[in-house]
Amino acid sequence: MKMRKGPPDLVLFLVVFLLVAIGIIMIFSASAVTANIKYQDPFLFLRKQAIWIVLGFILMLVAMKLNYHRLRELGVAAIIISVLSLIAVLLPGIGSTVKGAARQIDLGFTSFTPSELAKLCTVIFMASSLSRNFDKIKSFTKGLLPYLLFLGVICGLIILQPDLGTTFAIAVTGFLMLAMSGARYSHLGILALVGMVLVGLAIYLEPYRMIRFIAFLDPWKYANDAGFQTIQSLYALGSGGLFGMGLGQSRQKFFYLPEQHTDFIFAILGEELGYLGVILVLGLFLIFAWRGFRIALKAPDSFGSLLAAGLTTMVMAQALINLGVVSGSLPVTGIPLPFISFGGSSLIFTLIAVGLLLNISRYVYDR
Amino acid sequence: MKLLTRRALVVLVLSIIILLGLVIFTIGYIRDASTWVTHASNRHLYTNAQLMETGTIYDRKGEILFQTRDGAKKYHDNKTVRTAVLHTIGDTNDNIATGAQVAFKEKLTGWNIVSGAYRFNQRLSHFKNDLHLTLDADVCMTAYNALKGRKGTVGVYNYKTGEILCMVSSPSFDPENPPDVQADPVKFEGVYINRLLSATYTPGSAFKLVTAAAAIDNLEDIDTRIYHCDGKTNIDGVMVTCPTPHGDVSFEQALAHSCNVAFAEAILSLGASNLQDYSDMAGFNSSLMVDGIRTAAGKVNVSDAAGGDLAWAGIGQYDNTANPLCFMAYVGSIANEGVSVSPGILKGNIFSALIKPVTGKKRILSEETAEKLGNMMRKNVIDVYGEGNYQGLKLCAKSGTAQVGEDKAPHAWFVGYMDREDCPLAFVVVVENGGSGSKVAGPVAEKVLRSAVNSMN
Repeated sequence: MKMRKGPPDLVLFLVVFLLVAIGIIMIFSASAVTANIKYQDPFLFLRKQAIWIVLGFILMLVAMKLNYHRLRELGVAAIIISVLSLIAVLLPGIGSTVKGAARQIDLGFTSFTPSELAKLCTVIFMASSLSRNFDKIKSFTKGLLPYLLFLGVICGLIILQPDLGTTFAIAVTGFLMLAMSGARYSHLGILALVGMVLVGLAIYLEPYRMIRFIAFLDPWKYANDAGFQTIQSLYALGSGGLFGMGLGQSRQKFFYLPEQHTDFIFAILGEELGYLGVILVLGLFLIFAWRGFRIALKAPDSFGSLLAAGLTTMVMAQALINLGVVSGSLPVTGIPLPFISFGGSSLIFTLIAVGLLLNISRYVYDR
Repeated sequence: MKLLTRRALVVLVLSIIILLGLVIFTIGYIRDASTWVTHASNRHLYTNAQLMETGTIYDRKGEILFQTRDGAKKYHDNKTVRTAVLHTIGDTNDNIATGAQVAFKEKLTGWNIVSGAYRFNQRLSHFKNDLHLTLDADVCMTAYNALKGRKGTVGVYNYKTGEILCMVSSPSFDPENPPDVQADPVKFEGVYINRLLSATYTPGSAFKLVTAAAAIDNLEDIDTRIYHCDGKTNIDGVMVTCPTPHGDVSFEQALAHSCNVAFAEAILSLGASNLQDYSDMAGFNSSLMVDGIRTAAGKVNVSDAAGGDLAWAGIGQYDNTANPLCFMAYVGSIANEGVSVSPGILKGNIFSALIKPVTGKKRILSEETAEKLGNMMRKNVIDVYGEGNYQGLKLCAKSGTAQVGEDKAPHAWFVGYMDREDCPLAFVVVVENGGSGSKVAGPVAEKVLRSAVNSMN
């Protein structure tokens, strides 16, 4: 069999293009009012996101052109950079604290979110390492434990920020990659139980999370405090009806719904584009998952296959958590919706992930 | 590699979760989206938990019963009308859960599942968001005045179309000057309850209309049989009594004079199962839906009753209860040749008439039974209640004086209908602890029906 390069997965590219296009339209619609009042510039977030999109697509093309096999060698270096940046963000004077969480490093001209880099690097590292250690993964001490320690360090650093949403997304991605690599079901079962206990503890031990969790169980009871975001989101989704109130017609964006152009942008989308808009975006994510899965299956080697599956899982896990939060199905936690939410780091690293997926999709065997 | 191929399916697990989530969200959306949007903490619709802008509510003649003006709630100009229709319209703080402001919140606020909440910066549509009720403000006012501050309820509806003309519950208050209800809990007992929809009472002898229907259908000699009443009868140690001995009476006379002794004998011949079947069929154990508002359900359970208990159950005592509106619907079915038409309060416009489901119709009694029972009710008025008291109404009725405890005056019931093509109206009047059904509730019914006749002609 001889490996040759074919065209990239056009469907995947189109889906991502559409999601990004919907995203920038919604970012402008959701942010114009607040941007105008806060910064006297209704186009502020639109402009910033447009720059990120251009940059993101350039990096996506670069990631698509590289020989992805070379990433195998870069896995360890990527993780070291990730860990260092995750430590840096926790240091006073380097990490900028917004609403009680130190998640970003202010670079002057822009800010950088280390956890977004860590997400991508975790997948690259795990794909690289697991593809070499398939034979060991069935052993708990020699196979599974090192990865658990690794995930523990990454997740531990992120939860210190604190950012439970991203921690959960990385943990789910890591867990599913271990599952795909052939870890024993018994180990995975125990791991899932331990994970649930840890999430429970993370909620129980942090008072603000506990309040959010209680509010999640009955948001209407806490309409003016802990349940505020959830019910404002439900007002937005419920107000949309089938066809929506029309693009630009949201009411909830007028300082009612917090984080309306970032974590809760999907609620504004539901309000303006209605249930049909919701279905459209969910449909695009499902096609994304299908294409990602297809690329993983058709990848020429185990590294490519694991990498594709891991990257797809990473995007889908994040989308799932965000959609769960916005629809009131999960407790509130700050996590952006891939491709749609405003945010440079999130968009750029997600587009690089797409570039890698497109890259892998180009390699086919002549049989 | 093969293992990886198989296990890569976990990527699809996330997709399945999203799909499942979508299904759950869709179900929740269809079921609850209106509740989300119309929740009192939604500041687009409410200020201080009060709706800022809603459609206007009109009565059948176009009188404005409720509107919002500059973010404030405005009711009818006349204080008595405001008080009379309070339970239908609802109060300022939405304490009356069955009031139109709560029950038809979606329509009034302009939300619907297709277009969602109303458009930004656009006024509500009068065509879509106003409510036109079948209620007649004048008839309601007459009913409220006729109750003279006594606790109880009055309902009148068209037994052919189902339109409710009168829905009054007392005690009530002026919604523009709400009282301190806590300060006088006795006077305002149950003030937020629409008694026509949400109360249940011991029906007393009015319930004999159900027993009579069962007897007409099941006792072969019912037309010829003569019952003897000495004023009391002992059934297995339980005394069934009448206020005075009636002597020899036919079944028709027994109904007219509300002879408990004669009815006790008839009930024992019928048996518990027949009585239960007819009670269920007449809707005494179930709720009705009045344009989506669920009424309280009465209770008639004679499965364990025998002897004297069964006899008392058949004459509307024992532990029977009845919802006034359900009773009115039953009487309406007697008037409408055995077919019950669901009562409703939404008149609607041409548009809503197209999308509104056809009013529910259900046969409860055979045409012959309904006719016989109707004739007996007509004779009640002519022979006992006094045709002169109800001149021109062509009234068919049955009274009830429901015992509710030794130290309390009985509830006064008066139910019936007008056998007139031009005014096909059925009614129910209950005066709590009012005393005699025919003497106390009867005159209330008379005043209300005359007002309704004037209004319709």
